Amino acid sequence: MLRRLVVDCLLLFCLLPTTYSYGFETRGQDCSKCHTLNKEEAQDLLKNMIPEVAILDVRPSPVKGFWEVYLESRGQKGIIYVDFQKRHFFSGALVSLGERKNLTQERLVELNRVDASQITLDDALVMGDQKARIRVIVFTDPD
Amino acid sequence: MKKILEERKDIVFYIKMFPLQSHPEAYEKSKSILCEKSLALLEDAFEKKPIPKPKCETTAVDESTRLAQRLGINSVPTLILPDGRMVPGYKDARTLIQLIGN
Repeated sequence: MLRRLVVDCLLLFCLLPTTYSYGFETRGQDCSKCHTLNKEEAQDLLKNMIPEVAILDVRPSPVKGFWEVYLESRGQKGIIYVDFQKRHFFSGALVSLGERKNLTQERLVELNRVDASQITLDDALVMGDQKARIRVIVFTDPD
Repeated sequence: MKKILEERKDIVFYIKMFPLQSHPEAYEKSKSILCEKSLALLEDAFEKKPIPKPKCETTAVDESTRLAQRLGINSVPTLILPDGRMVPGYKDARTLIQLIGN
């Protein structure tokens, strides 16, 4: 009987944090560890809202209580934020007040890195000194 | 870009044509510019001066368009820095110099 009670108590303690957690850190515990979101789950959550969605990466966002979900939809890559409860998401720019930086854009730039050496430059117009050290490739439209 | 080049002699721009579908004349203009390999012609186009019809057959515009789409580029101008960072949208010279770094 006592053993049963102990087991029940343990179960209760194990379940409580997930049932009642709202994604905020309380009493110094790191709540991101109580929450998980994998790509398949994210795909399931979002497939009815975002057409042809493919999840490329999921990680904790700079804001507590949210996942940063990097995804592709109809050839466009982007970031959205999903809350730990998996009941809401938002898309838009996350801006750091302290650093005065658009964190979303910065992260996208980081994620969308390409191999610049793989881009053929035979057909490119050269502006500046061809021998210059730093080559910047510009895709532009004449209109 | 000119402003940047004045300030930084160690930077060179390689300009690839990526005519957007929303600009119906941009494709032909891009071809003309590449046929002549002419920066002057590109500048004329920016200034809305009339651009002569292309004087050659080239697939370069189609190829660079395909490449741009593959890289996920969907706005112009988009810059690609030597370290692979993509910078979409117009930025002023100071911001760009900061992004390019040393």
